Amino acid sequence: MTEKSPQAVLDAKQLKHAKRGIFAGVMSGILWGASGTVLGMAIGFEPLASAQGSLEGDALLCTLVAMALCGAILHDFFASVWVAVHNIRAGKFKEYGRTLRTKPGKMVCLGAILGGPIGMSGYLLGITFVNAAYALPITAAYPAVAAVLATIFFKERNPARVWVGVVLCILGSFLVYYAPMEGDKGAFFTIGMVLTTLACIGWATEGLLSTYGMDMLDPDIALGIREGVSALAYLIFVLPIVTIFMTTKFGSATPIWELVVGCLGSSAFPIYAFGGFLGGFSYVYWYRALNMTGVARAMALNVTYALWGVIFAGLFTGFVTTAQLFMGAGSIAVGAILVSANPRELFKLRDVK
Amino acid sequence: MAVLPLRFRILHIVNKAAGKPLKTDEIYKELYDEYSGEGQFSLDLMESHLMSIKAVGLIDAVDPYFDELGEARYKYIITETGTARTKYLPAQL
Repeated sequence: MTEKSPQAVLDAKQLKHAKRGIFAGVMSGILWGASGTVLGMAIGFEPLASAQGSLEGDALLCTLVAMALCGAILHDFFASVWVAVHNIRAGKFKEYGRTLRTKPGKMVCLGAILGGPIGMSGYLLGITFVNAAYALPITAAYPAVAAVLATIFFKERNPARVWVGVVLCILGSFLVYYAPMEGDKGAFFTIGMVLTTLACIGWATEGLLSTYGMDMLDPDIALGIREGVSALAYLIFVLPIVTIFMTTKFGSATPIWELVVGCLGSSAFPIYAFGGFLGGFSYVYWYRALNMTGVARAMALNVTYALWGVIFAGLFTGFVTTAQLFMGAGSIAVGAILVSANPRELFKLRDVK
Repeated sequence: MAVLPLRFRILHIVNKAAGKPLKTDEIYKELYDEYSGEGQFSLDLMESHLMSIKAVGLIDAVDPYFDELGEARYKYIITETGTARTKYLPAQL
């Protein structure tokens, strides 16, 4: 029998490592699609359901904003708790303080503000104003937005493949926007889609910022910091600012605080906790895939949540999926994969056999 | 000086070797006094940290060999990208 060389053994080990990374990438997409669907379902539970049932006009708009922010805060708070539990079990708790003292750690904090209060708020507002089946595909175009921003601000040159991907994402977005919905799309459909686009921009800028220097950090720790800082930023800055704005603009205080506090003892609480759990672990798998199989593959697998979101909404919320919506989501997913999958990164940096 | 994140120190040690490939257990031994007792610090997990740091292009794996327990391992060497990232390490290291 021929004995294996150390190189052959290590190649097999690396292949296993890369396969685990691919599994993590697939899981990140599935869990994010599921998380969006679950968070969208929270609107049907108390105290959110009765708050929106008896209101109209400005009061309804205020309440919807409050509900979405409530969801965003609770999502990031629960995600940070779940990730912290995971990190404590892995014996990494001391890494939080050590990482926060470094420059890459501080960049993650800045990225958290872009991705949390801007990205996550826009996303949850989108899910609240329109259906998750519409909001998820739009946000999945974030790699295309990142490619455009990198070209404008960092003067990055992209190959034709990336621009084909960007065009597919734009076409897909139009297909999604104009996809028919059973019944009325609601008074806030357009504003919901605009806010979803804002989420897409927030996540793209977070990605651009976090990538630089992030490769030195443990992804689980970077994630824990990201979610924790985001939840704190909501409590310290976003809630007071939105409350003051709504009070000044519409003349009455929004029930944001009441809803957040009310959620803690209500039937919506386990929904948000479960949504945060799914979202948190989607991030864990996403960051892990980045480290194990490379940015390109990981991103390409993660953006499949555009399709998972439509599928889960159809399966679990009674939402009627149309062929046009599915085609739009598919076009965005394929476009985002084309933007992400850079063969140079796949074969040079990662050396995946 | 305050203890740094584990991956910062791994990168620092591989960079300090100035082009000499380092074995996993050499890096592990050098960091033992700082990180022993933490759940994230073991020889197997060290290998996993190294593979991840390699995956993002900061270090390279060279010279495969079998260690004394018959386990196939690489030696690790700093890359150009890794050297550029050392600007984030504290100057007093």
